Amino acid sequence: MVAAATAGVGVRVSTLAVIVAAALAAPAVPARAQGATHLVIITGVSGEPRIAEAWQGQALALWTAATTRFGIPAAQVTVLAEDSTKDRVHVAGRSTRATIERVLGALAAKLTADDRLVVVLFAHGSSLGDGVKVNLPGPDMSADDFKKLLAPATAPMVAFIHTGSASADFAPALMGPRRIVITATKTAREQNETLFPGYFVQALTTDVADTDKDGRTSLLEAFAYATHEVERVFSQGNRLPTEHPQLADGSDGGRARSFYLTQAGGGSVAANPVAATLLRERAEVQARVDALRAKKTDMSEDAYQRALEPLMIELAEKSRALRALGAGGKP
Amino acid sequence: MTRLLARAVTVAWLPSALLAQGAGRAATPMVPAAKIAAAANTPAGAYARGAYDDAVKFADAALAADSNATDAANVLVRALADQGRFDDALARGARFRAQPAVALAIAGVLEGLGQLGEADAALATAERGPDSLRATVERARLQRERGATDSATLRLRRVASASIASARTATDLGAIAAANRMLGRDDPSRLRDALRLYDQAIARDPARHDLRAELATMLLEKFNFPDARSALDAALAINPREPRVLLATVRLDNAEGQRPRGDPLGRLLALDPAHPAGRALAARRLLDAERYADAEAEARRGLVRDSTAPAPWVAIAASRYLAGDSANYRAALERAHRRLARSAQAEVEIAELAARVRLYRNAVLSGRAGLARDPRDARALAIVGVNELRLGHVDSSRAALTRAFALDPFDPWVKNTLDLLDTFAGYATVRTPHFALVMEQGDAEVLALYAEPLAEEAYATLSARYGWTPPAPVRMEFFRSHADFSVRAVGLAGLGALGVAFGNVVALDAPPARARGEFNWEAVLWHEFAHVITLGMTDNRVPRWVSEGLSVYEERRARPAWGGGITPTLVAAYKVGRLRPPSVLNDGFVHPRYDEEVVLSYALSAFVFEMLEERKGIAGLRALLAGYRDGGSTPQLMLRTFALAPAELDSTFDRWFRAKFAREFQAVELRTTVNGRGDTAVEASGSLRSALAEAARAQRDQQWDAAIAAANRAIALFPAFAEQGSGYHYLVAAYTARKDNAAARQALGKIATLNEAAVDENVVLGGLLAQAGDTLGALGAWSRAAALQPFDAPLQAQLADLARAARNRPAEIRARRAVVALNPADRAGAHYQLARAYASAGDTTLARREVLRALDLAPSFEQAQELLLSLQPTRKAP
Repeated sequence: MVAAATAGVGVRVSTLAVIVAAALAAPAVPARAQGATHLVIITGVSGEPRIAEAWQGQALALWTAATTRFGIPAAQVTVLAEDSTKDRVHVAGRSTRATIERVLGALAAKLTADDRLVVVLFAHGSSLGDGVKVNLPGPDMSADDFKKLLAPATAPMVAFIHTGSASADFAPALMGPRRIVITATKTAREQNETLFPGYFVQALTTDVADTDKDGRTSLLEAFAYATHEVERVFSQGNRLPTEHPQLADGSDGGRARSFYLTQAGGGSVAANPVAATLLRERAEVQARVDALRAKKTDMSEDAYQRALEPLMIELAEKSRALRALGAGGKP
Repeated sequence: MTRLLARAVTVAWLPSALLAQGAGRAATPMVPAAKIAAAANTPAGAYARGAYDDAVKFADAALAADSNATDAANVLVRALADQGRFDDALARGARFRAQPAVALAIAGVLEGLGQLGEADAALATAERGPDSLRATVERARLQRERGATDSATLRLRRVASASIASARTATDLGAIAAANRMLGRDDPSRLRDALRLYDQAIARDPARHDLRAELATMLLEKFNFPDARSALDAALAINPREPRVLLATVRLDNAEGQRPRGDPLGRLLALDPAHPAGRALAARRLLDAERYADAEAEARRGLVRDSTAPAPWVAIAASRYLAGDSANYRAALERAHRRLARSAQAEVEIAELAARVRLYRNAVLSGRAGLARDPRDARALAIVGVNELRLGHVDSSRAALTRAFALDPFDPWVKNTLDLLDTFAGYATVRTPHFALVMEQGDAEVLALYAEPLAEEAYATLSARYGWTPPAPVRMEFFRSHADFSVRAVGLAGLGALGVAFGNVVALDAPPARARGEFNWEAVLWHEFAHVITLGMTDNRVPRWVSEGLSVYEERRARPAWGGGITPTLVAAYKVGRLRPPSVLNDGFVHPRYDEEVVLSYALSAFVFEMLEERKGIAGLRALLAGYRDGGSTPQLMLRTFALAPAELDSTFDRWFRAKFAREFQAVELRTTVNGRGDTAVEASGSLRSALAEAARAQRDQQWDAAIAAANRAIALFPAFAEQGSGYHYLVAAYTARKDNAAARQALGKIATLNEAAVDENVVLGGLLAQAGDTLGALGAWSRAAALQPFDAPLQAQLADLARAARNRPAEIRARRAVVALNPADRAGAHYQLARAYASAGDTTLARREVLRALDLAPSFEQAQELLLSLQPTRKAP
């Protein structure tokens, strides 16, 4: 099921249905101990005030969530905008090719294996026969330009999210080990303005996308939510969709499922022996739940629920006990 | 039986798959004006432009100069025949009878007089002349009519294989085209050749209107209406009296369901009052209007010249069949069969007519009878297939249509319907006590939440009211694609209707089939179910205006906003006499004189039945329907049931209607204007229009006091008018601008109760009421909006939260179920909320099922865990 992707070879790009099914079935790729998370937000040439305003708002919302909700230090969040004069508080510079090369080049060179780099593009893409490019003030940048720029970043985990039109070709160009690439379209020919960025930012800045109710929103959940909403809008309007978001992470969503923007914090639960026992017992129950789930397709729903209910009661009781100890009920 | 979208009833047929493949097909050539002008004073020139008397005169002159002028003789004979002067034509042409160059024209005269043996002999003579190919084709046609299909086919093949390069004239090319067209019955690929050859023939002689008529008829038979129209219009532009072109134009108008432009049938019959096919078509119009005796009388006028002509006999047979006179039907059919040996043509035409007056079972029976005579008749198979589907017999329909498609792959009705049947694999059937609700699988869970209770309510209400119970299950099909619905209804896309009832089978647009705010599918469901009752009670013999009128009336009785009610357009049209009176209101449906007449006739007919019920109660309406079932006519039944002769019915209704809406009649006028080209246009005027115009002006200028005053004036003049642009809408805009939410709520509330499709108005109203703390009012508004747009996930979620706040558990559960079925991004959350709703309603079994579904998706979902624990028998709620 999982296709190990290496840069430029055998990239497997998955749609929402594949991703969700696979990610629920497959265990999450364990996250490594985290160092610093760096977020680079880039808005390209908008073409009209309405879009400029929307992207500016989305970039600002993401900056705010990063520095508050996710606890990323402001110094590690860089916003490069089409017009850097409008918001000098949050915008570090103009989103020209030179600035992007300077910012990403520096990060790619310095980040370590424990660090994470997240790049979010709000920009139109275009495909004029000379490869797919992102429209920037001044010279545009191609997927290959970004590939070269991020090539030194082999150690850190890199998530690259291109929310704009004609973004599909960024996945094969940028994929590699320890990479997650999300694009708003599945082909370079999908060149209409995209709905994806609005929903993606909403997913990361509110709780709407926390579908597993663990109190955090993974990159997979954010992608799934945005994709779902894009599909809903087109379906409800009885319109043919003009964008098809894609996710590639080399593990059918497994890597994205365990990727959170939230800075990891240390826990002291294990120091309490009662809590440690409860945690261990809860993990055992969860393992039994996972085993039962593996047999779900062979069972009627009634039979499945009859088997599931006692396990879920047990799980609920352990979580309640953990909360009573002040250890929190979330895994 | 259909329910129409109030503002548009258009039929824009798709071109056929075959003959319109020519995105690039050139239009048939126009006749160069100079050529006609140059030939104006010749027999042929006068004939070509339809100056038949001149043509006769010029031909006589030419024959006086040269008694052997065969060209002139041909024109003479044809010009007389085209005017219906067949005896004259025969007498004047008698001396040319042995001449091969004139024999073809004479053969046509003899055939028109029913002297088929002599016609064949004349054709044999013609086969030795310059038009030998056409003569052979005509002989084959007559042979085929007699049932000698093998020898006919041999002749046609001989012509079809003739060298096109050696074809000397347009007549030759046209003959080869005609041979291919006739052979196309068994080998559809020949139709392409026929098309090409007709185009070549017409290009060679653009004045050959008869060939244009043949081409148009072929295009028409293959449903390529635009190209058929183009060919006919080109001919009529030069000769507006060409009988073959006029005949084909009438057929095209019928096929397109269009009002005839320029009365081509009247022109044809003025030219030739005994034209058999023309009279048969006139009879058909009367059959559509369910005037069977008149139709027979009309058809008989087509037998004056040739008492054996098949078309009138078919029409006579149809009129007797539809009137239930089986013995005389068989006698007439036998007369038709004398000329249509081994042919299904008569049965096919009767089946088509039966289907047009909703007798679908009879259509199947007649189609099958046709197949017994000719098992390879694709049209008969198509009719059987389409009407079996209307009866709900999906498998037998598919079988017949599949055979029809194999014989004629170019019939778009068959192709479209088979394609539609293929999609049925993706439909789910929701069974209720009295219905089989057929819906797209993805829609079924949500739509059934609304359709099931509504359908059962309609069943209980209307069955009790009319004292008649339809056999269960009633099959009700919902189409998310309007094009699919249209194919289901009429085999082609482009139908303006919203629903259709065939009897115990109903099809309708599902909510997503139309733009938001465009229609109310629940009202359509109710309307169509009322047809199930009226059709069922009468064995489908209820006239259209009665069934439609009762359906609209029942809509209005069911919900105040449904059914359209009184509108300014209706009042204006009534005031200026643009609507038929009740005694002939059926003509407003089947023979509309202008685009809106059908829609307005729906609305008016409902008021007729409101008046009739006031006079005699529901018992009167029941007796009326029973009378139709027993074969009664409208005049008989109105007299017997309501003691109203036709004139009395009209005058009584007129008084009632004017009294009931006296205020509205004062407020509305319709002004008729004639522009420079003589076109008549109508526009609304009167005090209502002035008030609304003033409100619009004041709104544009943001003069809110003036806008409110004008809007209130409009409302006082016509309180029921709540469509877009009504006084209420101007009030909402003005009060919203002034932030006077209480007044805005009041105006929105009126729209919500008067306008059946007001989705967004109900959404806004609900929001304002919720803000004002009127939870119950808000719940009502959002419930109405959600019923109109059940697939609106955010609206359902809002409604669910509001229902929870109002402790309305059934409303909450329905909305929560809709949210779950709409596959939200947060599925665990949706299941949890549904579980809570069930738990609050005391249904712990379903609550546990839903909370487990939530936890299966999100095992660490704290609130769900707590709910699960609380649902255990020995535990307490958190």
